[in-house]
Amino acid sequence: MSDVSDVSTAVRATTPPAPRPRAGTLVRVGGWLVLLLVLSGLPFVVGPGLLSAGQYVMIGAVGAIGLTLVIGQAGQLSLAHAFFLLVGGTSYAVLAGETEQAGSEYIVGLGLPPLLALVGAVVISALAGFAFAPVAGRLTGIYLGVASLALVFLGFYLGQALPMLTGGAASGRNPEPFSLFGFAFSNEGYLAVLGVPFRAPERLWYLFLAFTVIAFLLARGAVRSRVGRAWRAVRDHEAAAAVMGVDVLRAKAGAFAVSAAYAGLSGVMVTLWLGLLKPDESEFGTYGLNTSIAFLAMAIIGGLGSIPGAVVGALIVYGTPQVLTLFADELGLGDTLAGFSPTVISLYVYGIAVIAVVLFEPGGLAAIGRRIAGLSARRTRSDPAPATTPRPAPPGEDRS
Amino acid sequence: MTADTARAGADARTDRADVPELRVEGVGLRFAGITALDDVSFTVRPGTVHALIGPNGAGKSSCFNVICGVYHPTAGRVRLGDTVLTGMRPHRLARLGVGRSFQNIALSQHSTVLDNVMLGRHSLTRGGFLSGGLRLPWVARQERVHARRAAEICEFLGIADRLDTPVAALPYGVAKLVDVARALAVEPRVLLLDEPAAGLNAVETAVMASTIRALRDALGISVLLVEHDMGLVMGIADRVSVLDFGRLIADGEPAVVQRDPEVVRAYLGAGDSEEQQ
Amino acid sequence: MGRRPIQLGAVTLFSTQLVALVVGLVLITAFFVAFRFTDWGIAMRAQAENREAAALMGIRSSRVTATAWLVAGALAAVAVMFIVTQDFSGTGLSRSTHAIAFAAFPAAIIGGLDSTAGAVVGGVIVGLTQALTEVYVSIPFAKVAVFLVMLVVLVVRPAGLFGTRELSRV
Repeated sequence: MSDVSDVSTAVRATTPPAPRPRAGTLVRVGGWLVLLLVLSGLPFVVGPGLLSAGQYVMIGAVGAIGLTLVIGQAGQLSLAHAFFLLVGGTSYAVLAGETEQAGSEYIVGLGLPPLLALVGAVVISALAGFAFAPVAGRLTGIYLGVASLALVFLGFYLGQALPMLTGGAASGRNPEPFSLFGFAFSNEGYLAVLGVPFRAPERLWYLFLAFTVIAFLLARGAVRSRVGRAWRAVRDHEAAAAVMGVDVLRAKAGAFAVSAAYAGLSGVMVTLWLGLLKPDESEFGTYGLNTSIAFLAMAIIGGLGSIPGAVVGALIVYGTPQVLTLFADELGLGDTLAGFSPTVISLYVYGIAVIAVVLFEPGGLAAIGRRIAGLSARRTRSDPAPATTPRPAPPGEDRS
Repeated sequence: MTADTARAGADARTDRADVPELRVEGVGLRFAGITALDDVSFTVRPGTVHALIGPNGAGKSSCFNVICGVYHPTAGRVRLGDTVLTGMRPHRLARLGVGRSFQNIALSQHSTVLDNVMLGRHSLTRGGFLSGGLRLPWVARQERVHARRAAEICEFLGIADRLDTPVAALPYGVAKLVDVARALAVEPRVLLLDEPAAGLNAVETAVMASTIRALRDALGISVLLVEHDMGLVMGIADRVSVLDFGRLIADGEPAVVQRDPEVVRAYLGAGDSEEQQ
Repeated sequence: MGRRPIQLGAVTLFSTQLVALVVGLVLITAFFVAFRFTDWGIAMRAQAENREAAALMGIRSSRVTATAWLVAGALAAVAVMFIVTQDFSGTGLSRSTHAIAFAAFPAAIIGGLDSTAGAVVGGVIVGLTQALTEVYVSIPFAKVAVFLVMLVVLVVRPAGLFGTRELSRV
């Protein structure tokens, strides 16, 4: 580097490196397409029971993607996910529903079109997440986690204290079924495709699939963009992030808002799936701490920060109880297990899964997947391995 | 601002005439009764390499952190040209053209070199969650343009072959260069280097020295560095400021400062100065 | 233990509650002493401060961690022994008894996680907030009130009342 100006002009003159074609990319895209095709075809093959179980998994997937963004990518521990689920569900029910009288009480509804209500519910959830920013900006680690826990208790209280919005803990309220341009995602009307009658389970399946795909792609794009880089910088080194021009407070607030928006959508999906919005009667329920922890388990099992990992985590954590319930009778487990309901069994399953991940592969399933992909890539590649072989990536890796 | 004008703006910044003075004016800093800095003033002239030296605990890093907004001084101020930096939130400094590297490499270890360097482009780019998530055409174009510039910077520093390598897999000396590359990606007019040679071997130090000189000569930017390696400092610095116990005890050309009796006393008199921090 | 209330001036207590109070005070004192003066307590505090430095000084990290969990479990067991009595919970154990563990979080956080004295002060604040809210506002609001108090404390002092804030060097 003796003649420096020469070097720099030479550098300026070089053409930008052309995007390297990757053989793996085609395979990966093809794989995703096949998966999507299989999922789209499922309603023609399986019954409503399994479809409903799949919908529940997708509820989990959407929420878990949101949580893995805020915890894994931005490094902000949040246990408030269940609260934002409640905010989203309630917002949808209020925005889309009609005002009605239940006994002596009024239940408020604005009667907006369901699509508008859905968007509104997601936006309101995001704003709720944003409102937590002044707290989130000041706290780190476990202090932030417990502080966010406060929101779950607040939600539990408000759910009961505001029956005009939530319908109260005793009966709840029925949300307006989702509809799009006059097409209802319910049992309304008769529709058959290829001889298969499409009723609520089939219709909701496609709706939820669309939600999940959108949630997935948005998160993946964002993680690879400027926003994702800023989040990871805040996670890894706040001072360095600030010096590089990242507004740390804004990045944290944004991560919380995005995660809350995902939870809000997940909450809308819960009310549509149950056909009911009902605040919890005890601390452990649909919107309780157990739900926050279940989402946390999904994110950890999948590998913190990994978006496909979050989806697989949802499959394990939310899929297990559903499938067990479906097959409990067929397998004759109904009576013999007594107190061990599918829910309890699945608690053990994901409890063990979390411990196994923490002990053996802190990067979660995502890291295992990358390792397998790396092995097969190395085997197929003919040229010698590069001098520096990338180590298997630890948690919170940005490749997704 | 479109991506192309961003690029053009970035290039224009490296014009020597555009580099302002960095003035540290009477800066004082106290932590719970301890005076870390006391009435420190010096000026980094445009297009020069300015070294800030002193025994351990002299306040060099504190001074650095005051300049780049991580610490708030209890007295005095820092100016870049006509702009007062003091009191600004740190992230705004990047936009004004202040780049900084870190003493203990502050990179995202699991991200690739390119991803780390691209962070430096943050204030030169736009886009939020939705536009990034949807990968809108202008976002994709902006990403391409800035990735190209990041690659150029890495090429300049001789690390272009590591763009896709995770930082954790790099040797220390290369990681140090990535940290510098990220600071350069801000398109700084003033570059702050915090102990760029710390932890490097002799060969790596020589590479770093020629790199720093190259930055000044090719880009015309000012460089302010904190450094322990006297050989490096005396070899590349145009001007040296010496801190001791938070006070400025000398400020001038390297050859003059080197003979300053007070500087000699500070370095030789304080026998324990080589203790690790 | 009987259900016969004990009258202390204007205060009515169940004997279980009195025993719980005494046991609590004894344990707290024991822990203060242990943390300050025993090798084990010093090792624990050293590790909390700086794990690597502690390991270099010859402290066995795995053993300290294991005993910390052991003690935490034992203390929780003591607490549960009182919780299951009728005088405290009314009904004994139920599926949601473990929810009470979450009351311990605010107590530890309010005081500051690295401070024993803080845990005691935090516990008192949590207890008083809950009891006063139950009497003067409403029972359902009591738990929320505890967490709201915690939020306020955290916004003002991000590492709790007695916790030390970590300074990051750059």
